Amino acid sequence: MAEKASPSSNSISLKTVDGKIFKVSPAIANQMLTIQPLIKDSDSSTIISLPDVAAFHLTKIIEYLEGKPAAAPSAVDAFEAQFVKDLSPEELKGLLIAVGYLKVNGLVDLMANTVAKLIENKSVEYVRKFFGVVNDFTPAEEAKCRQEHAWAFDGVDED
Amino acid sequence: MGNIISLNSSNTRNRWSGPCEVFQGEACKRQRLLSTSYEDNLRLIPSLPDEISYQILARVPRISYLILKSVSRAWKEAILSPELFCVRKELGTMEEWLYVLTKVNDDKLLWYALDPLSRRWQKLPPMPNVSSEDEVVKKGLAALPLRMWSMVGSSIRIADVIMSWLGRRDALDRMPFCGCSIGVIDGCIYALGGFSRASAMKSVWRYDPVKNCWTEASPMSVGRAYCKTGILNDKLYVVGGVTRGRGGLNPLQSAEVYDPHTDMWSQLPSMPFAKAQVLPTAFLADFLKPIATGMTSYRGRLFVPQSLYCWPFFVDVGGEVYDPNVNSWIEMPIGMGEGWPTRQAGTKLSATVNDNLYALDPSSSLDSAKIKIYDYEGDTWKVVPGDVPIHDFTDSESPYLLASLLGKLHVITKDANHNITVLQADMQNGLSSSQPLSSSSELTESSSGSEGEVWRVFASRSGRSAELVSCQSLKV
Repeated sequence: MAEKASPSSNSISLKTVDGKIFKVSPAIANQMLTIQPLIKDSDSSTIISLPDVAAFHLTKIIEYLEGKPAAAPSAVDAFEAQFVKDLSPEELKGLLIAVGYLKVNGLVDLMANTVAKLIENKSVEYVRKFFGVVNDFTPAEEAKCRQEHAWAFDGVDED
Repeated sequence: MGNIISLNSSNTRNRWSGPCEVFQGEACKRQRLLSTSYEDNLRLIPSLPDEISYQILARVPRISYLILKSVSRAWKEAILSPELFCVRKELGTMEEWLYVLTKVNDDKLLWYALDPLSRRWQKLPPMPNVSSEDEVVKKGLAALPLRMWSMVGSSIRIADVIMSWLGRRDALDRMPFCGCSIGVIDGCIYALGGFSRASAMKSVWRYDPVKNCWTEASPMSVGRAYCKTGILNDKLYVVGGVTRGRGGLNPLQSAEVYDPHTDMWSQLPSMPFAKAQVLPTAFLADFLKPIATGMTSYRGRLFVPQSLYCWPFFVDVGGEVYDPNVNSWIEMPIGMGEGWPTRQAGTKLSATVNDNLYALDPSSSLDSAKIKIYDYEGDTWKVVPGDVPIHDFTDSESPYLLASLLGKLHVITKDANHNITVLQADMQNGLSSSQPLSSSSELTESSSGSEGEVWRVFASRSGRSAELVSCQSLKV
């Protein structure tokens, strides 16, 4: 779909880590804050290489940036819900990293919200595994931390 | 094809500090977050800039933070950081919780926080030393040395024991076990004064919900138990209470104010108790002691209902109003003082919700408690239609509490099964002053139905032996 972006005006070429080249309009590229400063120095022959972004993620990002303005104001929520609906946790995480890297307008909020919902009632182990966080507590420190949690909810009814 | 611009390679550690180092317009705030991002292993989430991780964490409900603290050191540090709560503020994800102080097993004070989102209750850590030394407190100082000596093990040097004993005694002297008063300011809960053994304390303890711990704040100028608190212009006001003097407990007329930003107390003019000055005889004046029975912050001033007190009798004498602009006290509007419903033991409870002043009138019979709203223009208290379903008027210190939470009036009480119950008033059904108290047919109809139409049980938890002491809502 990126190829559909008008090639006539100064379209920007973005190259993903898996070697695909996407041509996007400056209007779209400008909403990726990380590459914004590079745009004014580029011409149609410039290729901006994105070492941390895979084609799948860039496709999604462009889909978002093109689709959101097209949606009616009342339909934005539905559009955003639809946008994240079919993403697996793994895809969510990959997209989050791409979005965080490119600093995509609006999409940072949507991804942060989605991921926050995903971890909100999860165990420590789930969160560590999901994000690949290494537990750097000593066993004593971790026990103390967990004890604080156990104390807080001990004896409290959870009907 | 011409030039190729490659953004920083993924092999370099500082790949996030690329061309656009900070979010626009948020440069100052983000600097600190970014400063750690060069060290990938210190990141909250590998491969993700910390500023994005903060965006995620700030959207997670606060009740999850106690769990998420155990993920890693960086997570713990982030969750305890003011920065995260700044992001929550920017995003509008602050949460207002209800904090209820209860007394269990006689004299042990225990705090519970209610998260209105998940309706879950979380126990707060005890004020330092209170729980473990509870028995000692009850038995008094005499029991302390014996208890300490029995704990002496061979590996502990005597000097350490004496040191710890001294330290402990010092701490005990500053630990309330009853009569402490509660105030919320600057994102923290303050527990002020109270009795420890038989003396009234000056000490002030501060609970920080971000750090989930208690620290000691500057003490008040005098020891006070059962003093009254109110918040005005970001300062915490304290009036009255009792202190221990010659011949027993003496009510205080003095008032002072705490500024959380300087951690300093300043004196205010004492309450004049003008009504008590005109008592007919010196004997009576000596016999009846003036006491502040409540305090509420309302319309930019502090309203303090007062009584004359001679155990176990209370005579209401209206009250006085402190105006911070002129730093002086004037008499309370007559109708306000006379109509202010009394809770047990002469105390006057109230809650200000959306600038309306509410009190609960337990009335004479069970199960027919009413909410009253103060009509400032008419200087009267008006009954709000609908019974408050309160079942327990037993001899507990506080059979019910009032709170403003999420912009609604709440009554905290114990139900027939001794569960602590948080009742929420549905403003639409008649508790707002804008479409109030006239006998519009719709209103009468809705409130004459089942009590559930105005009041619904918002949350409850097993109360066991817990007695209600006081409560506050706090948004962070």
